[in-house]
Amino acid sequence: MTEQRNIDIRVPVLARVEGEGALEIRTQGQDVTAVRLRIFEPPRLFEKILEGRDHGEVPDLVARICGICPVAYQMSAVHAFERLFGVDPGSWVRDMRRVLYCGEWMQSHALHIHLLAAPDLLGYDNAIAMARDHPDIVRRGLLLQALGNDIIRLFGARSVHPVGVRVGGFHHVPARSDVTEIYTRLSAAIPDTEALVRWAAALDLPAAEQRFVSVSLRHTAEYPMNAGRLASSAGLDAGIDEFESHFSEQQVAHSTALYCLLNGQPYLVGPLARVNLNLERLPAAVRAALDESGIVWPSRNPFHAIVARAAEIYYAVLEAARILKDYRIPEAAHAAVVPRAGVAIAGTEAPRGMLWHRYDVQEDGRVVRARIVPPTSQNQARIEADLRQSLEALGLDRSDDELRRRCEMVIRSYDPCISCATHFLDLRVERC
Amino acid sequence: MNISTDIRIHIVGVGSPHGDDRLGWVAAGELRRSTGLAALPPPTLTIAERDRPGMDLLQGLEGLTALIVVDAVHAGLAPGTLHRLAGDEIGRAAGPLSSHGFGLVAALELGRVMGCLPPRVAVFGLEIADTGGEVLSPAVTAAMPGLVAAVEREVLDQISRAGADRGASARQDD
Repeated sequence: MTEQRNIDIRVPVLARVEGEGALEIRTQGQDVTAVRLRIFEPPRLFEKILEGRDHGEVPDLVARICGICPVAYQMSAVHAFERLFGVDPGSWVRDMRRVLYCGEWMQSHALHIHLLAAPDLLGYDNAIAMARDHPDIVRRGLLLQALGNDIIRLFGARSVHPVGVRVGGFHHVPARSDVTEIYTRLSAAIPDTEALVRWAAALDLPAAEQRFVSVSLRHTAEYPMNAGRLASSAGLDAGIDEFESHFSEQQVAHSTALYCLLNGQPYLVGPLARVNLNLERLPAAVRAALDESGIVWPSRNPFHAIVARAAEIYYAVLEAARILKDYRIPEAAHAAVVPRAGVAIAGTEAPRGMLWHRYDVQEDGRVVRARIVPPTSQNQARIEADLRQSLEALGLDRSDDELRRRCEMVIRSYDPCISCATHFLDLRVERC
Repeated sequence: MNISTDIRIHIVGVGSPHGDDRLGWVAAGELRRSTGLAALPPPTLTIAERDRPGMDLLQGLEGLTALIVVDAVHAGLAPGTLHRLAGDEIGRAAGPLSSHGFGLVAALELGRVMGCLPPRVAVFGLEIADTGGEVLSPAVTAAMPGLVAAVEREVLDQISRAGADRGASARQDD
């Protein structure tokens, strides 16, 4: 009989994820009996802070929720209020918001691929060690990240917690010369981003076929960013206002974060889910790059998220260049806004997945109650399910070190934005 | 002072609005008003304030002779203590890496291994006190003139070194 081990592993700091939390794993023989990802989410606090605030203050306040994806929080908020107030900001605002979102996808995805995920996949402890051997790869990633940041700066005055977005549109109109400069850099980056997809697809990714449901927005004509219906790979097709009829958040004893489930089941949001559900909405060039990867899309391997992320950078560069090519100065940067009472709801596609906002608004436009469902709380249950399947597939007879490394790699592949804190994983494995 | 026209020195004051963390911004403002550096207009000397730049710090470094970064420092010493890191000292100060925690030193170290830093890099800072609000603590306020003077000396030193390097290479070319 195999000797059974009782082992307690603790990883005091797991780098290369956004936020703070802990992982506990319990095993019995060859079975994983419990996986608990304990994380802490700051948006709960923000929801209370938003109560009593004027709708006009909300875009700047919610931008503070995340240093990596502030634009997403701003976009979901302004779309929610505009839907309730019946504001049509017009095609210029709509287009520029798409460019702004492209900038955020570029910087967030480039950061995750190059500094957080790639070191795992190439066998380095961190990005600095990796950059010694692969300086050109990291340099390309940083250039793409910087270009994304500069797009955010173009509209938001700064790349961290930008301030240019308002309900109804923008506070200012970017100058033609600044847009031309960005357009030139975007055009020059197109070959780099195509190469990035090829590079990501050639990485030695673990084989891991898993069953999971993908969820994202779906738009009638576009790859989803600011608008669309709720869709899932299991056939869900619902309006954004119906979110609460299908999705529910619940508390679990081991985490201060809420778990969001679709009809009681875990699901995936983010780049892989978006690509899986919106392949035919991608332009031919991106589609061709994905097809050349040798991966069969839609993919059931969660590790293919890095390829999806690279493809979305390629898409974002093409899309932003397409929109900015014929840039025109509008008559106004924003439409007039007249508040009214009611429920303001919107969902947009943050870099890490669908971000849903609901604001109960009183007559003068003040927020009475706010509800924010961030992508990471939606992915939480899916990450736990993945960890369980990954560990069982790997084999529990592996060393604790190997198990821990694989767990960290799985968690990181979801690019969880756990709390905008600084550190994360305290792993405990109990074997009995 | 006769300054070679291709010398480029860039000072970045890193900070946020919170208490002593704003000292990089305050120092950048003081340096911009410095009479000692008034003879060095852009592009010889450029000064910028940045809000937690992370990897962004590595952008726009092409063609620089020297990069000088000013930031708040927390090393467990008395508030107001002046720090200067240069060369290998910077890499040794690098902590664990995450994107939120991807701080100044990690960014510089990453830049160094990729070969995209200018020939000379120095980090200056003051040890901060745990204060809130939007003002500097008395200890950091009192130490600010010393910090500004140290950065001024560094700029002038970098210029004379760069001049000496050029003189040496010009002599070699002869």
